[in-house]
Amino acid sequence: MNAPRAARTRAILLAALLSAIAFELAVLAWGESPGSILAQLFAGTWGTRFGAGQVLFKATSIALAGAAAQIALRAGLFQIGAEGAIAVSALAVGAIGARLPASVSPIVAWPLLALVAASVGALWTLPIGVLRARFGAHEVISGIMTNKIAGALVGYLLARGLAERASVHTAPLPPGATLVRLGPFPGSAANVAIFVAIAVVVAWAWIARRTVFGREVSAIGASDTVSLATGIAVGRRQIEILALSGAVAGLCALNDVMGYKGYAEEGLSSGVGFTGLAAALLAGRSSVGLLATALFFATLSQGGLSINARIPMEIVDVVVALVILFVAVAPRIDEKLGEEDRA
Amino acid sequence: MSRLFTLAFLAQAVRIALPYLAASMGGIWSERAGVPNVALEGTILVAALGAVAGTTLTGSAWLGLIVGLLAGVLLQIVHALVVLIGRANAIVSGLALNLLAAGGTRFLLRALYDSSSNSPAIPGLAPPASTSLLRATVLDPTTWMVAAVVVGTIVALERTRLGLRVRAVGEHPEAAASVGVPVARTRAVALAITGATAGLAGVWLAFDQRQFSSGMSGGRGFIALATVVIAGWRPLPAVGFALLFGVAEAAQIVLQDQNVVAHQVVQALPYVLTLVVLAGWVRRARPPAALGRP
Amino acid sequence: MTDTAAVLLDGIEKRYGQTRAVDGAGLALFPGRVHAVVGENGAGKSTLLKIAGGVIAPDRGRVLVLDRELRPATPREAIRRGVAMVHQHFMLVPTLTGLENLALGEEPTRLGMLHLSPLAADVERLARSLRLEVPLDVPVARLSIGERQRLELLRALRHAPKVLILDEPTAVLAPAEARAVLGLARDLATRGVAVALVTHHLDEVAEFADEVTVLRRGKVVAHHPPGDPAIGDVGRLACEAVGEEPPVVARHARRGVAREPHVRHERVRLRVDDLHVDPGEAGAGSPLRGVSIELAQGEVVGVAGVEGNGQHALELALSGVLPSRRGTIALDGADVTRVTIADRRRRGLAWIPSDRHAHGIADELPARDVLLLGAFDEAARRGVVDDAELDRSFAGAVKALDLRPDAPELAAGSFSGGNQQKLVIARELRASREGRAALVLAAHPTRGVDVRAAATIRRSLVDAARDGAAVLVISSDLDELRDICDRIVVLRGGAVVATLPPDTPVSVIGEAMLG
Repeated sequence: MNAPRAARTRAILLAALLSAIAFELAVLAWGESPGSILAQLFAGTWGTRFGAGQVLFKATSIALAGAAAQIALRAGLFQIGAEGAIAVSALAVGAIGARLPASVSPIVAWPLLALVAASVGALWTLPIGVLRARFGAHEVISGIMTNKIAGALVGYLLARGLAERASVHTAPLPPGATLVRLGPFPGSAANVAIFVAIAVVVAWAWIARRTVFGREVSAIGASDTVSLATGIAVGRRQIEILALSGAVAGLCALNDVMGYKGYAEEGLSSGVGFTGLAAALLAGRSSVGLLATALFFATLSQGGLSINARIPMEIVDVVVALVILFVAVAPRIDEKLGEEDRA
Repeated sequence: MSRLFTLAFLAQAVRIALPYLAASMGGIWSERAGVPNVALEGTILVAALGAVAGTTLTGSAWLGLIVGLLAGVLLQIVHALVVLIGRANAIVSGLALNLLAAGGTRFLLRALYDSSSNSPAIPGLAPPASTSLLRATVLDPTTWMVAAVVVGTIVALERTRLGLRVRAVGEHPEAAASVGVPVARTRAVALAITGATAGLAGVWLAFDQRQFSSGMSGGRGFIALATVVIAGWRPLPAVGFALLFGVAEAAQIVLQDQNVVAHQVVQALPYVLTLVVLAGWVRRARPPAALGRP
Repeated sequence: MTDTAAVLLDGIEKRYGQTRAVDGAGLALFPGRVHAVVGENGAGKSTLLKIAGGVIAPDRGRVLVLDRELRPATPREAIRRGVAMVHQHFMLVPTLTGLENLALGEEPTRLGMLHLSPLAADVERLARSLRLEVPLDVPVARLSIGERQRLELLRALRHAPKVLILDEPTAVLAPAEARAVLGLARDLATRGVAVALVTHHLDEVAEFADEVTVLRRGKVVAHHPPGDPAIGDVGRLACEAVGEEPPVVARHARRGVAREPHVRHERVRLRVDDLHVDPGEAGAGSPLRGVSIELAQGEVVGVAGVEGNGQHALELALSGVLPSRRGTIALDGADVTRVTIADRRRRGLAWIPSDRHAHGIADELPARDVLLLGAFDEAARRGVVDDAELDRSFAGAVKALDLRPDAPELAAGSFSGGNQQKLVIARELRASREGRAALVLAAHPTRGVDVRAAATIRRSLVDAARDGAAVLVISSDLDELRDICDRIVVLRGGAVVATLPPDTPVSVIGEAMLG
């Protein structure tokens, strides 16, 4: 097991180096100095309590979406449908939360809405698993399609009555249904949902390594034909894993709706499903790695805002895309370099 | 309802379908060669910006067209490098390229035009908007280019050396290699064609709207992907479904003041249909056997 | 005949990761001769000849075609220089028509369009002259195995090659078809073609070959030039191919396994009735056409047959991978014909698969997980796996089967092939040790395993029967079947053609296999 891990570390370092070079070139081409841009990016994130809080807020959703992706990847499946699960869950939490009595207590509201978020997310990605397991349809295609349907559905439901009159969002949640912000980061949206994210990431690592369910899922990821031949219920596990992944993705609503906005609207936290997938691809199976990559992407995302006056913040998306591409090809480059070393 | 059965309505439907047609032909080339392609959306986007940038920089819409197509080809060549030489997962590559295209075009929009939303207006190739929709569609050279791409794809895939090789490497790459067909090169050529044809969809969009605006592909690449799947990876049915989606959207536009169908319902139609097809017809509409296999 | 070799391979090396598929082997193919290349699975036969055909580039060594180096080492160049190859696994694209497959790689065009009609006429003429008629205008997926083989031959012979390489051409053919193909090879040799024939069937060598090269572990261990009497000596060739296991020693090593005659119990554990199976595109070889077998508790039954006579389809149908078109399979009286693999296993199926990669071992999993794959709950409490329990199982396998290395957390893919097989054996025979197995389905259980381990595996199978299971052994090793079975059924053309007692001489079993 050690050799692949060393190769993976080398590959990640290589990818980091290549991405850094690409970033520097882009900044230089813009006519700015990479050093001072980085300094400003850092100052705008970890330099202030507000900035750090915003990073933690963004990292929370990325970590949850990342866990959703990591869960599916364990079984060798790409959970593209997280994006749709996040959107639909957010609307459900917003719509149901707003209908809770104004005096509702957090002891009732928090678990109830968390349950809503997870079950709506799971139900949303369930068909992806069924299509995969029973009809052999590729989960990426169904995932893309369900995401698009989710977008249309959310828009439709908001337009047909779920939105508050003369607005584009649901009515605000009662105070008891909103999450507590983190004190040390005043003004930022950082909230206690971050502990949910950490708990989910750590719990999944334990489930994957220690339980029968996790071990069977890992076996399916290693070889579905062998798993089938040895009597593992591959189809059922695939359906379960994609639903579980959707449930975890749905929990993003805690952070965005209950922790930040206080209501649901169209396009809330859009794109986070994909960033989470990127984080999971980078982190591999490591839970610490996933939390670290979530912080990294969140820093880039928040830092993009702080450098936007000097250089377009979209450079961050470009860097993230390049990181994914470089990580994807790095093993091959590493292998090639290794061959040349031996020759 | 009589407004549904006019020539103008038909023209509108065809116009809406044009980018779906071009991009779905692109998807067919790539996937029939065995390379999954979720990067059609990004290809449309970079080609649209390429067309606008080419037009404003050279002053010629024709040169803009060429720059746009080249931009699409470039993105797909990156896909080819990452997947065929880097041996990366094609889904990962495609998603990253979509992100790269979305971020990169916004970045360049700021760099070139100092705007975060849209470029200045460009002339395009179609006659001025004052003429009727039907006239504008018929007299637009890009309409005929899309038609040529569709006919070309249908004929080339069945009847040319390249088409035969593309079908072979997408089904059984080892067999193709054993008789001397260069698998990676054939796939790279197919991806370049994908870049140009999906790129044509982007150029059409830019010329139609006479500018580039951020995120203007608006999910058309994914509708094209849906079209490819529903059509069972075959070009002729893809034409039918692309036109069907065009008619549905045109009908929705015509009827929207009557509030008969919500636009979201029409919007979701291709995707719902794809899921239905995957659930029911997938055993007949089989994807290329080596799709996603190195 | 000339003194110049049509193809000369010299000092060839080819490595895959840690294993040397070909390790300094050489081969000369002369015009006018059928040159048989024999050896066990994994001896490097196919790799060596794929190098001759330009399909694989060697790491080291020279490939000369008519005295000139093959460069670049590509199939296209080899074809251009007159080297044609028919592969073991058909190299045909199933969705393309026969004609399109024949055109692929050197497609005739006119005005930029494919122009296949003259090709069709040419091919039909050639097909008639060689008696290899096959429909050209339907997708290959709809052709029979024999028709596909003919198509492969037509493609290889279209350009009147100087060298024809046949990689196990008869493995999947019915006996009559096989003889036709070999006869064709013989004819071509008399017309001056250099023919290379890779085969497992030593009787084919005796009948059709002029010259023999024997490979073992990537090296040439024997070469018999034309006229050498060894060519007709099936026993001697077999010894050379398997190495340090001359028959006497082999019998001796196995004697410990030989068992007292089976006491027939009443309880029928497996009943197969009129089973029909289409292998389809699952790569399961030839179909089953109405097989009926009955196995009682404690019985070991062998399935013999020339490779590709339905054994693989039988294995996959009994395990539940392939659906049955007609007929029934019953375990302990319960019909399981339409039941999943998992349910069959719950009813007492244990399966030692022939395709370890597809059905036995997942390379990246730790060995201890592979050992309990599909049965994690047996080492778990309330859904949590007890790794110490997995390690204990692993230690048990190390002791019982001399499994190496003793590293439970090492990825299964890092074990040698023989030790991977031991992992599978240990897993599949666990249930029978506890008396829970109804049927042990063992397909080529000792293939690629060293002599000592093979003896242990055979003993384990006999033990499984003693513990109450019915054991069905599919094997191409007739001595193995004769040693451990109570009776041997012979499959030919997808049907049972004979049921023989275990003391039947090999030659008699062989006759039944060849028909």
